[in-house]
Formats: sequence, structure tokens, C-alpha cells
Amino acid sequence: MDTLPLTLLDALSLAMLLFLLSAGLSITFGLMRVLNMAHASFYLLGGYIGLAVWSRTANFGLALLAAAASMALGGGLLYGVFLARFSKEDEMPQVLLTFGMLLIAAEAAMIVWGGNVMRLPPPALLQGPAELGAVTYPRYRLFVIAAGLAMAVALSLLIGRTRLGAMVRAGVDDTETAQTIGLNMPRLFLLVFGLGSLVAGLAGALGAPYLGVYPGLDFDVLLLAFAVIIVGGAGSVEGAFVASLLVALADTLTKTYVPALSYFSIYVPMALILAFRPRGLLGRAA
Amino acid sequence: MTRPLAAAAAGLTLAALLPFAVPAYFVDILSRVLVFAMLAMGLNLLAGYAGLPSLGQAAFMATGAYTAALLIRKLEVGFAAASLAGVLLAAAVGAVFGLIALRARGATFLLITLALAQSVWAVAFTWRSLTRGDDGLGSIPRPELGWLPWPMADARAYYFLVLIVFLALLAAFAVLVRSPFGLALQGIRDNEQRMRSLGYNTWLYLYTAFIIAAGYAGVAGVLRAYLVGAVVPGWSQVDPSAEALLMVIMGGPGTVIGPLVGAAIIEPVAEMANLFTRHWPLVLGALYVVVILGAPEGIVGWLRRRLPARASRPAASERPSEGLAAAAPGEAI
Amino acid sequence: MTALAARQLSKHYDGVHALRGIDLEVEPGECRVIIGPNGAGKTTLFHLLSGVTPPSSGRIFLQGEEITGCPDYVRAAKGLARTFQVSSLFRTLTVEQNVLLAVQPGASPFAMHRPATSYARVMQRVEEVLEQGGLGAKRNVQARHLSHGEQRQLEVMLALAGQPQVVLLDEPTAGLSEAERTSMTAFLRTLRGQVTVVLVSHDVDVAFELADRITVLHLGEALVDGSPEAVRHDERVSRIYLGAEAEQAGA
Repeated sequence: MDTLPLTLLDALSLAMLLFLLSAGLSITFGLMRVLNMAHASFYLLGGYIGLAVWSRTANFGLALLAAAASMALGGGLLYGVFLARFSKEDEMPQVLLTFGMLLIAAEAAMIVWGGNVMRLPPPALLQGPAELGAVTYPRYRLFVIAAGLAMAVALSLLIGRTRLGAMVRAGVDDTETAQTIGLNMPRLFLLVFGLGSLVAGLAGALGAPYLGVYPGLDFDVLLLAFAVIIVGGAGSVEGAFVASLLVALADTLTKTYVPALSYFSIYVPMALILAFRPRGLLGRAA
Repeated sequence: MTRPLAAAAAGLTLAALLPFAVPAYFVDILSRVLVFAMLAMGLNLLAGYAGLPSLGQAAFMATGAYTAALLIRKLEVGFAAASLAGVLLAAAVGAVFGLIALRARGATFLLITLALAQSVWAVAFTWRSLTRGDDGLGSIPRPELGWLPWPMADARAYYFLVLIVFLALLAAFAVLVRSPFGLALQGIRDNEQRMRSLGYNTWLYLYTAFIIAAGYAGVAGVLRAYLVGAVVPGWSQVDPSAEALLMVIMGGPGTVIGPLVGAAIIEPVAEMANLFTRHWPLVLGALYVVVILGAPEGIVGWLRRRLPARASRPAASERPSEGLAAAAPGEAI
Repeated sequence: MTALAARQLSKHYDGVHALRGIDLEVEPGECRVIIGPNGAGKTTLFHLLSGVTPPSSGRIFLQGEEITGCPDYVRAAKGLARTFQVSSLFRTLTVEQNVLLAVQPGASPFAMHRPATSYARVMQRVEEVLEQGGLGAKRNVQARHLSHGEQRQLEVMLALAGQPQVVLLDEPTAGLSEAERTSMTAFLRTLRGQVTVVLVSHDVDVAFELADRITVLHLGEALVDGSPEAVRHDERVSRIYLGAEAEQAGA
């Protein structure tokens, strides 16, 4: 029972990473009906690029920035060059095309960076343990939790309170009408796609110090992200947040207490949601 | 109607003569092409005809393979019974998975099939006492058909066994897609809402198709286990599922022989790629991108448009989405 | 026994009432036209009647049998057909295959062992439908390659092919040219007495031409329900239609 608070904190930090990864995916899926399989590639490449920048500059902040910026650019290019030609109804071709991109990116990363697990050391300021009353917990993970919460609030405000957010919500609810009232949907899509990729890349770099970066990481997080999308519903930042907590909790608890079942932990919340609420907890897009 | 018949006769002759024209090593590749063509055929029913692309078919292939292998090695069951059990269990797993996956459609359905296939991999990987985990099950013998003068251990003999099973599945498939059930699946693919408004219980049709596809994958799994002599957990992962889906798309979704064409291209390419480079997934990914962008209706679909089979049909439009949503209308091939 | 009846049918979304307290009784063989300005709830009513959307409250009866809890495909199997405002066809299939799908359910739609085209009685009916709808010459054309008018025609043919008891037609003349509208209206008039028709129309002229009775919807409620003459002279009706026009003119 001594380990429970630590386990919960582990779950919370994993949940924040998952949230950062899935929030962008949820919005693009809800808004554009694009299920970007390569989204996980942004996470992976964000980690690798962050690592590469850090190894040259020893500057953690710069590494995060590089990861975020490069993936924003990558996302924009992926959308502009390959996906913009498809209309909203062409769900399948987009999924499969991005799936091809996922395969390419995974293999390309392995060619460039090799097959070992790489870790990015956290900056000196965030190294070591922190005392939280009776519990000692790594400072870096607390940082990740804080960063995740901050991002959750920021995204929620962005979607809920700004004009841009209103446009996104309008687009999620009804793209055709949104277009007829003058919203430039293609430009909005590009922006949203880039933003989602940025956050995913940032998450990859943030996670690098404790999850590491390795070939196959993209597929591991892809599955978790899908579980979050299915449980939380598409098109909702809040849904992604709640679902991230649930999925991370299920995953961490089983890994700690029932390790033999750790591969199956995500199926329980998924199956429950599909059985009772197929739209997801807070799903928006019709 | 003689053109499809002539093509079929030519294909059959080729299939019968090919194993004698190539070295023994290559015959095993031919058998693998047929095995994957069966996997892709089942997937074609789901993806090409019913409009539900899936990335989880490999799970049923692995289920069939493991079941047959375990029954033969651990319980000394005969080949016929073990093979049948493999196919039935694959279909049964399909019946369970279908209940879950068919709560959704489209991309969400795809995700769920992916996740469910991963769960089969996880079982194979972690249940070491049963499946020997990542080491896999080996020493699976070829079926003994004592009443034939040729031992199945011979590559060519086994090839003909696989060919016969393949032709049986192909014939069943051709009948199925031309039946009212098959037409209904295509209707659901094009417009599920309208089918319901015409009185069809669309879920039931899709569920049945899902189980049939799983059965086909089970057959492929059993035959592959005998062919290779071993099963590993990786058989349930996304890679073979992704290859099968690409075979369907590249060959021509919604056509009867599209999967065979796709398998005949992708399998040898994969073999060759694995000889020259370790990076077959990169090639596979690139193929996905190229095919989706350039020829989403696949090779058979493309050929169908070029050959003037029917005068009254206007040329189909060029939108990339046509492929998976819009294969050629129910045709002979 | 009424062919189709609705009792106190309501539908609201998050507090917004799309339909409120609708009562409807359509006699067998009647042609009932539902008119009303945009947003009056006409298509929502069809979604409730056909089972696409569940009502918030109220009950629905088909030939005296309650169907309120039945899913859409069960209602269709019981003889309630419908068309959609935007043509809802099987785009990659040929005209013949479209009609075949509509006729099949009466025979053995789940059969897997014989070609779909091998059922003599089914194919006979397909021929009939193609002839009556005037699309026999286009039987091998994919539905997506038909003209808009032909698609609207096929849309109606699909609903009637299965010989339903009641058919709901959602804006059958929408987007048609003058000539096409005339022939569609003539076609619909031939249905008189054979099948119960409930028709939604934006086009008031079409309404008065075809209707036995007219129901006027306004802001989710049934405002007026009566013979065409009664509706034509009803003050409230002219107010909402003229009022709407005046607003448009002034804006």
C-alpha cells in the first residue's frame, strides 16, 4: 500500500503525456475526420529531434522548442502536400496514406538513429527527487504533470474561449455550414493540424527523459492514443483529458499489481465504452 | 462471357505448370502467395465489398495457426481435425471480436481491429506455457495424406494442396459476392443508411461478413503453419495485416481476383526486399502512399476501366477516393 | 384503421424543440402533404417516423401496430418506406442493382448460394419498376453517372420498389427543372389509392396539386391540418408565408 501514491503519480504523469499526444489527434479527427496514423510518428520524431538538439547544445529548453517547431512544420507539410487534396468524406484513403507515412517514418528513424533505446537527461534544475509530504517523487515527472495540466488548461481555453476555438468547434459540428458562413476551412485545417503535430512533438521530447526513445515507441503510444480517442470520443479536449486519465490509470495499475495482464489493460476501458457508449465519453463529431 | 472464362483457363494452366518451371525454393514462395491471397480474399470481403477496411485480419490467421499447431503437437490430433478446429476457432474469435468492432464504422472500426489484433499478439506473447511466447512453436509437420503417392514434405506436392484449397475458397467467394448477400454488402458499403431504410438489418450482414473473413484468415493460418513448420506471435501483428490490406487495395478492392493479383505482387516483392535490405517496412509504407495517391482502385479496377467490356458504361471519374468506396460494380472477375 | 398515425410526437435537442406535440392521422390511400417554412421540422418529423432518430416523447403507429420502439430497418420491413432530401442512392452500383437491392428484401435477401439475379419473381419486379420509372434504358449505368433528375427519379423508385404500405417522400421535386417537376408530379399522381403517401414539400404549388389533406408545420408545431381549400384560405398560413416573404424582401 506504500506504493499506491507513487503508482498514482506515475499514472498521472503518463496520463499527461498521453493527453498531450492525443489531444491533437482528437481535434483533427473530430474536425477533419482525418485519423492521422502518422501522429505517433510526430511523437517519436519529436523525441529523436529533441535528443539530437540537446546532444549538440546541452540546452533542454532549446530541445523542446526544436521538437515542437520541427513537428509543427512536419504536420503542416503532411497536411498541405498529401492530405489537403482529400475531402472530408474520404476517410479511408487518408487513414491508409498516413499509415504508410507511419511505416516510412518509423523505418527512417531507425536508419538514422539506430535501434537502441535513447534517453534524454532532464536539465539539472529538474533532476533528482522532490519531497511531497510523506512521498518522494522524481522532480522531472512532477514537471511533466505540471506541463500537461498547463497545456490542458491552455488548449481548453483556446478551444472554448477564443475566436479560433469557436471556429474549430463550429467546424467540428458542421463543416459545410461553417464554410458557407465564411470560415476558411482549409486554412483552419492546416493550422489545427500543425498545432496538433506541434503538441505531439513536444510530448515526445518531454517524454524522452523517462520513457526513452526507441524504435517501436510510435506503435506503443499509437495504441494508447487510439484507446484514448475511443474512450474519450473524438473532437473534444476535455474528453481526451478524462480518457487519458482513465487509460493511464488502467495501464499503470495493471503494470504494478497484475503485470501478467499489462498488455491487456487498455482493452477493458475500450470494451466498456464501446459496449455502453460507442460515441465515447465526451465525443462531439457526428 | 468468354473472356473471363478464357482468362480463368489460362490462369489455371499457369498455376498448374508454374511449380515445374521454377526451382523448388521458389515453389514455397508460390505457396506463400496463395496463402496470403486467401488472407487477402477474406479481407476483401470486408474491405472491398462491405466497405470496412480492417488491420486485424492477421489475428485470425495466427489463431488458426496456433490452434492447429497446438492440437497436432501437444494432443496428437490428426491433421483434418486440427485444421478444421483451427478454422473454426478463428471464426469463433471473429464472432467475439466482431461484436466489439462493429459498434463502430470507418476509421474507428479500423482502430478497434488493430487493438484487438494486438490483444491476440499479447496472448501469444505472454502465455509462454502454452505458446512458448516469442520463441514460437516449431516442428510442425506437413499434413500426411497417405492415400496420395506424393509426400506433402515435397514443396510441389504441398503447393498443389494449397492450390486446391485456394481454388475452393475462390469459387466460394465468387458465388458469395454475386449472391443477394454479396449484393447487400455492396449496398451497405455504398450507403448503409439507405439499406436500413429498405429493411435490411445491416449489422447482421456486416457481422456475418466479419466472421467469414475471419474464417478465411483461419484457413490461411493453418496452411501457412504447415508450410513454414512454425508459428510465432508476430503473425498476429500489424505487419501481415497491413500487407494483406495493401494486397487488397493494390490488386483491386471489390473484385474477385484482385487479392490474388495483389498477393502475387507484394509477396515476391517482400521476399526480394528482405534479401537486399532490412527495411521492407519503408518500402511497404511507400507503396501504400503511392497506391493510395495514384491507383486507389487497384490494378484490376484500372484494367477494367481501360478494357471496353461494356459499351454503356461511361468512364469512371478520377477522384482518389473511388478505390475503396467504389470498386467496379459486381462483376465476373 | 389509419395507415400511419403519430400521437403527441416531440423531439428536442438540448432544450431546443424541433418538434412539439405533433398529432398525425393518415388514412390508407391518402396523399398527405406536409408544408412549412425552413426549419419548421419537416425532415425531423420524417426521421422520427422512419426510425432514424428516437423521439423525445410520443408514439407512432403503422397500420394500427405500434412501432415507436422499432429500429428503422424493422419499420421498413413492416412496410414503411422513405426517400431522402439529398438523393441517397448506391452510387457505384448500376441502376438495375439499385432496384434489385430495393426489391430483394421481399424474397431471400440473405441467400449466399445463388446469384442475386437468378430469382425470377424478383427480376420480374425489377423490370416492372424500371419500366414504370422510365429508367430501363439506363439499367447498366452506375447511379453516380445519372443526371440529377434521373437520380431523384431513382430515389423515388427505390422507395416504391418494395411495394410498401406507406411511403414518406422528402422533397421529391427538389432541384428539378420545370419539365422534370411536371413529370415527377404526374408520376406521383399515379400512386393515388395504391399506396399511402406522406410528402414533404417546399413547393406550395406541388402541394396543392397532389394533396388530399395538408398539414402545415411551423416552428415544430402543427399549425393547420385540413383540406387544401381550408388551408389555402387559412389566415395563419398566409401570415407565416407572407410574413416570411416580407422579411426576406426587407432584409
